[in-house]
Amino acid sequence: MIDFLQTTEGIITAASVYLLVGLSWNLVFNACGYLNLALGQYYILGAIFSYKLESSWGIHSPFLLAPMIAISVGFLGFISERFMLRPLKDRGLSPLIVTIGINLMLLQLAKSLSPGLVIRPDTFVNGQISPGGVHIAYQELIVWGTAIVLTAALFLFFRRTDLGRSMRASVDNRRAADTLGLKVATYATVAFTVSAAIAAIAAFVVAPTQGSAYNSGDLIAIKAFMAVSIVGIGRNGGAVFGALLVAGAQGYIARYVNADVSDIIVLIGFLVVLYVYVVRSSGDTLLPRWLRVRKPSTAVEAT
Amino acid sequence: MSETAAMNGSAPKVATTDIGLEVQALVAGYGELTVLREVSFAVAPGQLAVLAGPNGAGKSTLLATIMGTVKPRGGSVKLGAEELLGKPVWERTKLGLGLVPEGRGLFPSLTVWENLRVAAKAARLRGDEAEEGIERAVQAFPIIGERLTQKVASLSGGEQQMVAVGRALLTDPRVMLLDEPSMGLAPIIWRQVLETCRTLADEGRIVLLVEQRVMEALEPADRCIVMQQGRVVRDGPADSTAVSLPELASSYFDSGSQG
Repeated sequence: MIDFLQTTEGIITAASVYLLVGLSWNLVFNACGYLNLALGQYYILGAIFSYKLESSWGIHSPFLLAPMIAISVGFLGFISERFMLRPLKDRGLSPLIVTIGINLMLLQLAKSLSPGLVIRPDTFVNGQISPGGVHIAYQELIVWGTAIVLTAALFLFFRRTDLGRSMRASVDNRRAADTLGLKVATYATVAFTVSAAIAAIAAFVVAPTQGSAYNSGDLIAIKAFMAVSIVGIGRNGGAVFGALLVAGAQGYIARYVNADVSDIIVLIGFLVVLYVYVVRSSGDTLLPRWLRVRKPSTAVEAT
Repeated sequence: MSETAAMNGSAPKVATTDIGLEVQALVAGYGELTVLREVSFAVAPGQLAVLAGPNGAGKSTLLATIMGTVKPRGGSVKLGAEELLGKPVWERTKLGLGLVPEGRGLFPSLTVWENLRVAAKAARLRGDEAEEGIERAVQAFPIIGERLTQKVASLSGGEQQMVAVGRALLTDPRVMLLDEPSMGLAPIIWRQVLETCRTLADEGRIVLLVEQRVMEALEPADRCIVMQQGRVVRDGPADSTAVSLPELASSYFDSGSQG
């Protein structure tokens, strides 16, 4: 039982990260209309900047580090959207391609700033609590708390502020938002900037718990993408559920089945979900005929 | 309905007044395509003008150019002495333009109140002004007041149309532009919308109604402006016998070259 609870505790930490990065996916998807395939690099730069600021500048206070990281990585996001994605998109280049390019550039940046493969910034507070024999590091509580606070903050921002409501409106009906004179393009920049900052903060709080490889950003981003796309990309409502589902599947399989295959099993599960989702929503399938899910219309055709 | 207004409208070209809406030699289009070719007309306060014409005649483009979402290539649009061209949408809204866009242009997953609030902020109304504006919309359509916390998607078509018109009233506009408000409405609701248009004109506003269901729209109207291939081909009283003539009929069946 303790073992199960301890596994669950780790799952909650992982889910917190997937939730934050998942919300970052949604922010850009909703406001900009494309997937930011560079998201994993903004994420990992949060951990790398935190390490750099600690080791080179001697800044250790998380209350100083957090805003510095949010602002610096947010600024990278701002530059990416305003001076690369938007102008190139306006010239007809696919934003997906541009984000892949940005991903490669930022990966090089991450590599050059990283001292080795794994970066492990200092924990904010050492120690742990052990309710009922389950160990929970203070740093992990900080991860949970960050996820709760930022999720709630985003929720309130979209519900209670004029800017947030206007951003929701432009997602809802972009053409009408243009007609009203809402600054839809500015919202895209704001969303991209905030999304990069949130992803970076996620890595900033979680990297001290077990360390992060400088090239692990994409893997986290993909899992977070799984978490949000299971419930439908762009829908923040189900993001918590999706994050727990992906982290749970991965954590329990790793503990009780096989640690080496848990990522693969989760990925396969995700592909199945995505396939069913795509088939059900579009009716299209890329599979050969003998593998297709049978639908009433094709059944009639076949008979 | 309103005889005096109908008489005013019988003049083919309304003389420039210092308070009316005056469009002069307006040219606009998209890329290579020229949609408006020197469109000119003027509407005086208190007048309800129906803008008719086949698809592709340029009616929606005209409204978009007046509103500021399409950039013109030439001409002028004046509200009173004020030149509107070159001003951003929010400033035109503040100066007194209210638009009910085609398809209503509402935000279905937002509540009625949020829809109104977003529009008020888009027009850069300050706190008090925004509240007053929403109050004005509610007074015009009390049913909006009962639905403030409901999502727009849950409203009936007629209620949604009221929200769309109410939203345009936020700034107490001098000019109301309505683009195909009859779309998707039951006949009885459509009639109410027309009555609302008449009331808005009787309150001293300029009402410009773009409509495909011309014959019904003409009943309460003062003027009828017919566009064809980016030009005004008829501008006169909203007398259905005068309008149900060759120009209108042919304009509906002949052209359509511009999709």
